[in-house]
Amino acid sequence: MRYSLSEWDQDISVNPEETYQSFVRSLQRTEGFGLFFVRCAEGERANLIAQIKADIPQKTIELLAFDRPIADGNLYTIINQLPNKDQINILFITGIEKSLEPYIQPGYGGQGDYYKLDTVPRILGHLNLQRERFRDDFSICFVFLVPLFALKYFMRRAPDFFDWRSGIFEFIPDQTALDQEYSRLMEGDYEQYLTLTHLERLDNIRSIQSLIDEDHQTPETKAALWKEQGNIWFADGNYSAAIDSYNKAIELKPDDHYAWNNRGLALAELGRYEEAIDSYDKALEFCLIIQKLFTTKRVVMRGGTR
Amino acid sequence: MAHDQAFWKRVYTAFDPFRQLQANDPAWVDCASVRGDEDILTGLGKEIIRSEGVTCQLYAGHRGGGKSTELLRLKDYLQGQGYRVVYFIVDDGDLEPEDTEYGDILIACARQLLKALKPSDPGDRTPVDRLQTWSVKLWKSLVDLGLTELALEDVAYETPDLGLGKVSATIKTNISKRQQIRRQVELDADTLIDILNQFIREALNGRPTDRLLLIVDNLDRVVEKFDSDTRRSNYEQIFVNHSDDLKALDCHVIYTVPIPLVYSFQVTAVEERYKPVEVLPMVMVKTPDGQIFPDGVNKLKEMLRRRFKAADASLELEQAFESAEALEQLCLMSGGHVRNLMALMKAALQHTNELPIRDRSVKRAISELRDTYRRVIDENEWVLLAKVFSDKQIINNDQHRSLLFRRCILEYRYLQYDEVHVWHDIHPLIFGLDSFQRLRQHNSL
Repeated sequence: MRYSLSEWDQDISVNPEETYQSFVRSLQRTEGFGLFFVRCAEGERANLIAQIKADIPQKTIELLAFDRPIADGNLYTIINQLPNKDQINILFITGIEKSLEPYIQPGYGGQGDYYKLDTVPRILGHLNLQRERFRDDFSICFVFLVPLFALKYFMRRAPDFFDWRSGIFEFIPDQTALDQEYSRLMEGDYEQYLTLTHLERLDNIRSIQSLIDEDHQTPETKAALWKEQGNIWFADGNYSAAIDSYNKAIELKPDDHYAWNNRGLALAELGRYEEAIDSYDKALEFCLIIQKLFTTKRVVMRGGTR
Repeated sequence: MAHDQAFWKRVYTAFDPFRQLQANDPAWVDCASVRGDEDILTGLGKEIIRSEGVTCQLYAGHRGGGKSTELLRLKDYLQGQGYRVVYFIVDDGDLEPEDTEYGDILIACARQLLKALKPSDPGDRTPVDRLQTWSVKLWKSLVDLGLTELALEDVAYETPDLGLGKVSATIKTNISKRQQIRRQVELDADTLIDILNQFIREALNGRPTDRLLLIVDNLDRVVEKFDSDTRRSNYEQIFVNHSDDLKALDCHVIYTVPIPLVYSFQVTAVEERYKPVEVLPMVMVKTPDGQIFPDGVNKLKEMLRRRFKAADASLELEQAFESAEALEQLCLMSGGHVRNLMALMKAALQHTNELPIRDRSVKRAISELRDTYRRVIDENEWVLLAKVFSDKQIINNDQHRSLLFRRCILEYRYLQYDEVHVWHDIHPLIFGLDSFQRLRQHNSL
């Protein structure tokens, strides 16, 4: 065969210590402007910064933390106004995702539509056009600490800015942390979702989205998360968004009768009764207990025993 | 041999993805022969030199593939031939970042021309005054329509450059009235173009206007956006609907445009309006039938070699790697894309404490860049990618264009019997992705 996989096509697994060493090396070797992206669990960020400060004492290292969206979406202006911008060697930036969240609107279908083609988050639009000015005006090595969804947003909607990066370093939460987050998100039920405010529901949905986005999630896990997201949209009264989410769940796990059933309910809410009935039929088809009852009923009707 | 920190800083900096090569940089490698004979001097350059009157040309290519480097070469070359060349990069000082429209580009060109071309007689303020009058008149209509709170006086006493700057700032800050302001600018656009053309003629002081070239770089950085109602792309609005305006300046103009534009349903419309779009393809590292193409790989090695040399004259490329295969794979996995090549090289250096660079470090670099591709591909795109992988060509539709834009599909060209063959392939890093391999086994590709 002309095309065969070689060892160079295989992924290499790396331990966090190796990643950290590469990160330190890069920061030490970077002179002036630089651009890095780092993924690490929110609880670990302070530790990481402290460790870097301890390991690179000769550089001036600062943190710029955003806890809300940047009003005009212009990061350049903010950095330009930092009083000590000429002293800073390494600037960690957190909370940039706060400026992206408002762009995640109800109704997106999932990966792909998530980074909707009819909007560009303002901050990313700016950055994509500002990259020369960042390089020419700041002698700072920028380290963006971002969650995965924000990283993907950069890749797609500020591709030219992202293209100038010198590296991405990932201190990915281990599987246990992901499993805990999964259990936390799956605890909710419909009754409880009804008691939440609209914004709380959106928060839940964002958490679900970032978990779905994690690499190496199994199709089962993803399907369960999509279904959960559907239930939240349902409680929010956004039935078409709920249907989109159930569709995603069904794509990944076609025999999930709960997803088919809830999809049917959402369709019925929108008055799309014929589609709703088709969906209920699917639910019946895949519900093993009901199938068993049907079988039993047929056996009884034939007057026989099982 | 242990190297000191200063050495590492130099080597590390040599592969910065954000440093463009200037004209005549010794690190520049002539790749025309492995890019389907695409050479900016004989392409865009010759057209400018040979044409009677002014031209308007479009230049496209994957981001990070070397367009700006080539444009700077062209600038240098034409300046050597006695041309006056104004090269500029449009940024968010001019363009509205969320939705760029044609008017933004026109104002950007006006401001840059104003800055670059000082009237030959500094005492003659006529052209500048005319521009001033234009901005004041525009401003007055904006005030009359209630589109801005800023008073006329704020604009009237400023230089025209600042006046135009204010207009583009108002477009950006006044979100609710942005469209109305733009309509007003467009209404006056013809007059602005006339004034600019007079300005150009006077600045050139009697020399023919076809001795001036304006290069507008980075219009490909305008992110494509589809109107949610009409499903129309802003590219169409800018490059097709406003082609007459883009072509109306009385000098040679080159605009860099996004590569998806070349493969859109608008391409016929585009080519009717401009000359065929000049495309800078990737360096061909494999032939369409999957064989390694040594000429292309050697060009990439040469790029790395020269950057190493610039950092440390005693550094031999081959000796910097543990194995010749690692160097070869690093080149192949870039797909012939220059910035990817630099990114891979830089990452391999990050994972290296002492030379030579280990095979494992190169594998890590490859593996990390592969992750980026994993993350920009959507579930429904694998089938398309598999098809491109087997057909080596694309169809003009939105999905393929979007994959071109994300560099998941790359464009290659080669010359055979004086004819340019264009072909496409998936990015080589995609080949190793699980989802692609699953599909490949399924379809027995």
